[in-house]
Amino acid sequence: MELFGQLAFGFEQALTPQNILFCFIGALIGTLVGVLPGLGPVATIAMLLPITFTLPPVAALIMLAGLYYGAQYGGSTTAILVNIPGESSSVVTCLDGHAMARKGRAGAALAIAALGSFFAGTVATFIIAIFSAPMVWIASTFQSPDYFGLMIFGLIAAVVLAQGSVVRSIVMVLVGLILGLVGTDITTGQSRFTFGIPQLSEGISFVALAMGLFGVGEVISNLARTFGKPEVQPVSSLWPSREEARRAAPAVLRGTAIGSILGVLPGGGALIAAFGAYVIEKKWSKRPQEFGNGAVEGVAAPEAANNAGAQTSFIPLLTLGLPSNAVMALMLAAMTIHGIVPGPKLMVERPDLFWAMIASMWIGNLMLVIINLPLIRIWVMLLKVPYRWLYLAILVFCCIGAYSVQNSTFDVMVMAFFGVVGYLLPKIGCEPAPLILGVILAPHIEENFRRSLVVSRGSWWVFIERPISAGFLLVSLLFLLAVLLPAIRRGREEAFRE
Amino acid sequence: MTSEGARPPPAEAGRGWLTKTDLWAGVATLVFAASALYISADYGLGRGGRIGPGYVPLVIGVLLFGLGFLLVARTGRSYETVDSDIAWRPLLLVVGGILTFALLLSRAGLLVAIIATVVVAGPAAYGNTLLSLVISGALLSAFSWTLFVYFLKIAIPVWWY
Repeated sequence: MELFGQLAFGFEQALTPQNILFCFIGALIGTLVGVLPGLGPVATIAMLLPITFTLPPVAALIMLAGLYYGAQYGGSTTAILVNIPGESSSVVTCLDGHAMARKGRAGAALAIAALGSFFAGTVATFIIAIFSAPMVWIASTFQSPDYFGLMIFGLIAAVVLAQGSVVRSIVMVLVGLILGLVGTDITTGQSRFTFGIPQLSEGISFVALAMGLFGVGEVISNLARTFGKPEVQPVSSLWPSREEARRAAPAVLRGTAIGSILGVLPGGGALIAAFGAYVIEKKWSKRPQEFGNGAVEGVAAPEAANNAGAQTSFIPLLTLGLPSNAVMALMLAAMTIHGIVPGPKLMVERPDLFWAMIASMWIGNLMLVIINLPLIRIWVMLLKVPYRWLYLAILVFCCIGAYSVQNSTFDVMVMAFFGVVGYLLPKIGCEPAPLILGVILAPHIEENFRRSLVVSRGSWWVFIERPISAGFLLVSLLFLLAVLLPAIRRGREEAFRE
Repeated sequence: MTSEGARPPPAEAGRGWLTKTDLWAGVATLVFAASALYISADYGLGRGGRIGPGYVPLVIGVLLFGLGFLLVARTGRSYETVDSDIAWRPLLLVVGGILTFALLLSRAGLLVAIIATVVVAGPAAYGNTLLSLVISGALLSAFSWTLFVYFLKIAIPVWWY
């Protein structure tokens, strides 16, 4: 099998003692920060990015994978033990995970979440390996108008499938597109939106912007709330009972399947996967009344789904260069910093990096099981550190992180600015996640738009004449119409309410 | 769950329009769009198939303007209200702390900048005293030096010379 040969090649690249150490450190620190309240995966990865700067690309990617899965998994731990979702995709885990913890089954819930995630991660790794080659082949037939259509579709779908007001989310995307254009125009050399500030001529630092919007903004709004002392449920035995294991296994399978599919969709990823899996689990269950009161399936399915989704959302990024959510946008930025450009060319030109990255995802998942379960008591202790100390450490690390991307104190100020923006946007009902997607895609969209128009001598018809781009644009239009039509809109609201 | 057009509780619909999110989001959008259009007005639209640097900003600006208008126009039908409760103390102190870091880093170095940042941003949370802040600032700068400078060898000014 060619597939296994390629995966083996990837593991060969990834499995050096040094890389395993970096993966271990990444997963450890990722979990550590993921466990802390009020820092989602975007802010966590942005804040910890500088740790990878001095590493060679493969080691850096492996560490990033560790950070990413660690941050994801850390959120579930707090969800189960304290009923605080460490990040949005663990909201669902709170429902039954915390209910299990209250019944004294915290250890079992944690173990099921970890093992379910590991299983889902393993399957998703294979799915990525299997589907990457055909996706890259399809992508190789794409021309500029098709890429343009694809990116528009990606943005629209991300807006429609995510929660919140569609109109305001589109506004956020467009604002992001403008922010992404800041800097020197590559083809004409014209400075755009730089206000004569030389530090802006290379554009706004993406890491500083992401850290401001998701890290600093979150710190400010957390400080505005008063935190009660978190009530941490005690962890007894980590072993699930035979009955629990018997009920969890099929739920993990279903969760993995749902998560893998939903993760590939733009705007999908971990959050929507977890919600979808939970809703289906509850509908199909013979004992729906147990959901919310500590149903094992209610932990197993969403946890498997969010991990599978977190992983398969790499497919559009690695094969098409299209980030489908805010975390992937940050991963794209992180890879770019290390000189890796995800997209169809990556697999052909740098197969070593490509397969090493896929292997590293699996290694990252394995690390989580190895470090999370034995170290659970340390994570519990972390939860007791008061926030009035924690946020100071978060702020300092964010400052160092923003500075070290390009040794610029200006970027630290950029972070402060977007911290204010990130704090104020939700107050007028706007989510920062679509904005981030706009920022990262802006240069690519403009470039493909420009190239298309060169070929067509300025006519917009080129986007309709090519079937692929016409298809993407048509589906985008249908998506938009669907949300704006009342009947379907009602269904969407109900889906999110669950 | 927030979404446009969800049936509002009858008493709230249309009333108190000054507090609607759509109004404020719309006005902010209009201001942003207008500034973007104004700034990019002389960037040049290009000719024929060669679009200039002002082409895409113009398209986005016009779209934004339209959506901003739509948001303002539908204010009467929306029911979501603005969260006008701004936590000024954390906002100003956190931003102040970060700016302190930015200003002090190249002049005084990492260690001093971290302590100053912690002291400035610290009072944002209740229960932090000056002494505890100086101590935690010193601990944080020792930790940051060990991690970022000693182990990771990140290029960052440590002292003022």
